[in-house]
Amino acid sequence: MIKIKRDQIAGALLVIAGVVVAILVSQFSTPMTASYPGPKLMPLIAAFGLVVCGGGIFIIGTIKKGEEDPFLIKEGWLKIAVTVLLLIVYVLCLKYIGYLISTPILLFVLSTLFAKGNKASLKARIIFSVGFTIALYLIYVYLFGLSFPMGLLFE
Amino acid sequence: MDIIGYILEQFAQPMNIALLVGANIVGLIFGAIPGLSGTMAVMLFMPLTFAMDAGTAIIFLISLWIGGCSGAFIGSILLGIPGSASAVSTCFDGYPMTKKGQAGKALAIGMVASFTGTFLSAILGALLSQFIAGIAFMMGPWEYFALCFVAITLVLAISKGQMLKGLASASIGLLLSTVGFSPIDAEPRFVFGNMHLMGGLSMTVVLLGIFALSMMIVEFGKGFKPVPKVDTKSIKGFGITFREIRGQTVNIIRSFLIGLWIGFLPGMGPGLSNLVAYSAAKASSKEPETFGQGNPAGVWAPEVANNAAIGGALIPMTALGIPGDSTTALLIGALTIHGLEMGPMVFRNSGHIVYLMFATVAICALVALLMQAVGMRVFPHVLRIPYHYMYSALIVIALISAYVESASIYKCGMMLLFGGIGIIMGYCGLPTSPLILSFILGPILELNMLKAFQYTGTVATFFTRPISGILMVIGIGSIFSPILRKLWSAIKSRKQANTA
Repeated sequence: MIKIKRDQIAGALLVIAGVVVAILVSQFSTPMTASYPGPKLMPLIAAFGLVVCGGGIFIIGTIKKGEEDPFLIKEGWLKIAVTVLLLIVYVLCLKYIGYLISTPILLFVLSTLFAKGNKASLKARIIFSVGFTIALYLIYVYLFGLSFPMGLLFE
Repeated sequence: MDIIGYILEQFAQPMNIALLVGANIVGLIFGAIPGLSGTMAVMLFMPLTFAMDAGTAIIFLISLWIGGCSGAFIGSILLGIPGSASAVSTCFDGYPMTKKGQAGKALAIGMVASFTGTFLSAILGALLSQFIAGIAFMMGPWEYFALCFVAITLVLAISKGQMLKGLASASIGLLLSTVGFSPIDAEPRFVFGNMHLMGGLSMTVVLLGIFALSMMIVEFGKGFKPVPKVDTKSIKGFGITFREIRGQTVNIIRSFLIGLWIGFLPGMGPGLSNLVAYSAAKASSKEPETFGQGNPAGVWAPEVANNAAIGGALIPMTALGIPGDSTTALLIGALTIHGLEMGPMVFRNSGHIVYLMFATVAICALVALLMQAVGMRVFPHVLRIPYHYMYSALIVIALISAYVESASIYKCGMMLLFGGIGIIMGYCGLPTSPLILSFILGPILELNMLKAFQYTGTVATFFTRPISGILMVIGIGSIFSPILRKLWSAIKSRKQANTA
């Protein structure tokens, strides 16, 4: 079975992105002329760069011999997926229940997840989660006068 | 406005002093811990400045930056792991010194060298920037476009063997910078009817997502590496004598000039200057074989050079509005939020702000030196902050930074999206520095390009005007430098074969 290399995937993604951008740019209403390129030129340069570099990276990746180091093992990807999912839930919670409730929960879960295999007592994680949430709130809101999400349910 | 009076007024405010010291400490911690950097500290805490006045914001952001630059040597010396790219070559001799039981001496060299580089470059920068700004008045949109172009391409030229990936990253940055209404024509681009995208993508959201959030998530995916133990017994006294410093005078001056020049070049910065200064110190040493085995000159050279690049980078930033490196690119963006547009006009409109910057750099260098001297024995403990607490806290700060920018949860979601893009970029092996530079320089690049076309209606003017012509040739040459280098070495080897 042919093994697809990371550079081949990177190259293909860049070429696809470049083509999509070029199609979107062609729909801009302001015309592009030799004497005044208008708003189309810069995105087209970027699209050109993506296609050319993507093609180059793909070709080099195909020609290059030898095994490449894996970016992450399967367990690593799983860890990333769980973290991203947690953060999506956190952002939703920020919207509905606000910073003060959702942040200590996220910090506790993240520090537990990140600490896997390291020493971190339950008490220390709870103190960190609650303490950091309050400290950050006091600094941002009271010291610097910025506003934090209070949550739709409490507004 | 009386410049000296304004600067004294700023430093007479207890809040500003507290922020300077606090930000310097935070910067030192970010600089010292491998994986974090002063640049990331500036990114993370930039939204805090939204509620500050311009003077306080400048003091706060510059203190973070200087702290980060000054602290980068700590990880290099004590762990053999550079705190940031600016201290890579400090590892070469700094860590062997630690292994030989000379950690205290190596740290003291790092402190004094950092102070020397930063302090002197701030003074020289303050003296030179107005002169450079005077020259900048002779520049039109063609030259500005060419300067931005060179800044991006020079970064690509130093991404060894990764030219295509660097260029792809720069293209992504350029593309992201075009989201929203276009300059001059006000054509909506890539907004898809979404009102949040009309004003363009937020710098905080894009850069924190791609640069910081993705890095922390990927590090967790890879598994946090345990920090090696440091022998604190070898850290005694201040470690160096005045005589030893005097013995390094030539090395210090040479490294300072290298750092200042590389910092001055658009797009270059401490990441390159430390390597060049180290090579120069080794090449001119009477005992080059001792380099890599704990030669103090190998710590002096990179530390003076990477800090001298600070003042060097501030010169094009203030005088031309062109960043010397990625942190100054961020500072330009942050100052725009406070209504300050860098460039030659800033000396006429807000000269006091420019000199406040240089004064802050000089004062920060002194504060960092004092804090490092006092807290020398604390460094090993700073490096042992558990990753599970540190990264959890930084992720929350990053997301909250996105929110406070415009009190919008939408921006937190956008940051997650850019975090995802950052993870994909990491997987594809695309570097982030070219993206940062081109994302921030993109709008300046485009505006000047369109203005130039409005004036002359032809692309030829970019090449026929002397300064822009030279810069364009350098820029294009940088893009094709790998091919040109290969051609050159092929010609050379053919010549050698013919003579043999």
